[in-house]
Amino acid sequence: MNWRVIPLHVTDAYTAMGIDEAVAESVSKGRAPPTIRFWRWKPSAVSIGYFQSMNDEIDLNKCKELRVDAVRRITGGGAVYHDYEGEITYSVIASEENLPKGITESYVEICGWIVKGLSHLGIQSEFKPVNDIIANGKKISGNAQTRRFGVVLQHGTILYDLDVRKMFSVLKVGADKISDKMIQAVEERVTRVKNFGVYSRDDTYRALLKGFTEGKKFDMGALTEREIARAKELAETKYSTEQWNFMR
Amino acid sequence: MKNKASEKIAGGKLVRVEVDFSDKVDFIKITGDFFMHPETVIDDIEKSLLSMSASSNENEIKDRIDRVLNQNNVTLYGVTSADIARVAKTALSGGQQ
Repeated sequence: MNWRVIPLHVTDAYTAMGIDEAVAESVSKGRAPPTIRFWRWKPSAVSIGYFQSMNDEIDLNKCKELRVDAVRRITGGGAVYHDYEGEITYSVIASEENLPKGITESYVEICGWIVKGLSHLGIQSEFKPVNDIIANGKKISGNAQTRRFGVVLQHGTILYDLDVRKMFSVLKVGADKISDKMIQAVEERVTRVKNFGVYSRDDTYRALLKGFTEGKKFDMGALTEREIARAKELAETKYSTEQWNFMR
Repeated sequence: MKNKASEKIAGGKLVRVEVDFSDKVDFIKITGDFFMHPETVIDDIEKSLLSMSASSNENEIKDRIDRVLNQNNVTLYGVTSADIARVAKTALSGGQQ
C-alpha cells in the first residue's frame, strides 16, 4: 500500500489535533492509507501532553495577550511552544503492521526519517530515548506517540528557529523570572536548524519530505472530505473545549 | 492533608502526584510528561488508589497500579508503575510541600 503524504500546510491548534484523530480513525477503519502530514501552527500555540495540567504548565493570561492558542494533545509528553515561524510539525499515522511493534523501535524508525531528512541539510543527528532527536548534543526535535485501535499515531516537531524568551513567557515561568541565565541554559540544551547554516524553511521542509519518503511508495495527497468534516467536528466538540483542555 | 511530590525519573520522564488524605486517600491526581496508552486508563489508576490507606507502602501502591495496567493491557513509556508508586508514597509521606 502506498503512503499518503499531505504536504506542508497551516492550521490552528484545535483543527490540527482534530485532523490527527480523524486520520487515525480513517486509517483504523481501512478508509485511508498510512499517512504522513506536515504542518505549521497558526496562530502559534502551546500544546500540553495528555497527562499534564494546563494550569500547571501554561501561563494562560500571557497566551491570551500574545494570541497563542493552548491545547491538550491526544499523546503524552511535555508542554511545547509551537511558534508559527519557528518549527515544522509532522504526524505519522499508520497501522501497527506498517511500523515496528515495539514502542522504542517505532520511535527509532520514524525519528530515523527525521534524522535522514536533517542529514540532507548536512546536520548529523540521532534519536535519544525517551522521545528526542539531538544534534550536536542538543535537542532539535521532540516527538510523541500513542496507539489505539491498531493504529500508531506519532507527531513531533523539528525546530527551525526558536524564540526562547517568548517560549518561556507562555510556559509557566513567570515573565519576571526569565533571566538571561535561564535563556542561556536553554540555548545550551536546545538547538535549531538555523544554527547549522543558512537554510530557508522551504529547504528544511524539502529535506524532511525527502527523509520521510525515501524508500517508500507514496502519493502526494490531501485529506478526504470526510476527514475534514470529522476534524472540524473534533476541533469544535473536543479540542477547543474547556472540558478537554482542563480535564487534568 | 494536601501534599504533592514530583520526580524526574532518571533516563525517563517527570511524574507529579497530588494527594489529599486523612487516614485514607480522598483525592489523587497523577500528572507528568510520561507516556501511557490507552491514555484514559490514568483515570482508572487514580480510582484504584482512592480509599487506599494513606499509610500504604510503595509495594502496595505499585500492586494496585499493576492490577489496573494488566487488566487494560497498558503500555507505559518513560515511567514505570514503581516510579509512580514511589512518587505517590513521597506525597503521602508529606515529603515535598
